[in-house]
Amino acid sequence: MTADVGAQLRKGVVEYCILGLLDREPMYGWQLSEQLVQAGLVASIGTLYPLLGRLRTQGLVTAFNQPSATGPVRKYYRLTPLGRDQLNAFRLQWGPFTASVHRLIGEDTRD
Amino acid sequence: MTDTTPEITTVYLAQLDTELDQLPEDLHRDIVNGIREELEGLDGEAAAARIQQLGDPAFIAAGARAETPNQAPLVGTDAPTPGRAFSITAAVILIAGSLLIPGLGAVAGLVFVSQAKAWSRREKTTAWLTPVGVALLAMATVALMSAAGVGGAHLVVLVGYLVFPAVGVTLAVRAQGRGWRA
Repeated sequence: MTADVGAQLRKGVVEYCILGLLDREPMYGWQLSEQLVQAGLVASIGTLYPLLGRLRTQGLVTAFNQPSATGPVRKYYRLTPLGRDQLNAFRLQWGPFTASVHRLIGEDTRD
Repeated sequence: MTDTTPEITTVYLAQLDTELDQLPEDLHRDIVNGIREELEGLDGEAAAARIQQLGDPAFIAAGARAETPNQAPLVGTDAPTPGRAFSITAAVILIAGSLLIPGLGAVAGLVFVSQAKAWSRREKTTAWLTPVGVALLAMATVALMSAAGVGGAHLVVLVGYLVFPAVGVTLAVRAQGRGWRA
């Protein structure tokens, strides 16, 4: 069994969390990074870009350039239809999965 | 137009660029561009605050490396290059072997070089063909010198004798320059 359970759990879900954020609206790198770092899912913006690269390679996410209100053109990321399908498939499994795990491990009620 | 980018931004992006140097090119570019977008248009104070949020360039690069397991081996690490020892041995056999045992030593060295991973097929072919070319040139020169009644044919033979170590040294220098990788 691995000692760093948190790292393994994060690894398993972080790509779906990116899909989940992009399902709300297209986002640029820093926007995504801020939310994921705050949630403890990535260590830094450096961790995010390889994940985005993989998602783009798999055709789940696509990128486009858009000028921002404050000036610079930003690269935004958004879900593809395939990405949305993948996210929906994950959502269908996530609820029952976490319920099953919770049923099995429960909470430590011993004093 | 005058570049109004604050120095802190320029320095930070340069450090980031250096730290990401060993990563795949497209990833390197995505990270630098993504962060540059974030700092663009900010004055010194705002840029400093954002840089603090972004974190140390080395930390960002470490995060990217950790998520890029299949990246090419890092240059300058202690990890040995596959076949490095064999390649060095091949170069030594070619240089020393051809000097100590003329003929047989040179052929043995060239056979080892052909099996080594430090050189491309083109370099290996050149290593075999160069002595042949030099030998033909030497023979032609000797013939011309004899016909002209000029002495010093032994110098031409010496050139033929030294061509193998010269090829070995050239191969070694080229391989050393790129970390004994083809």
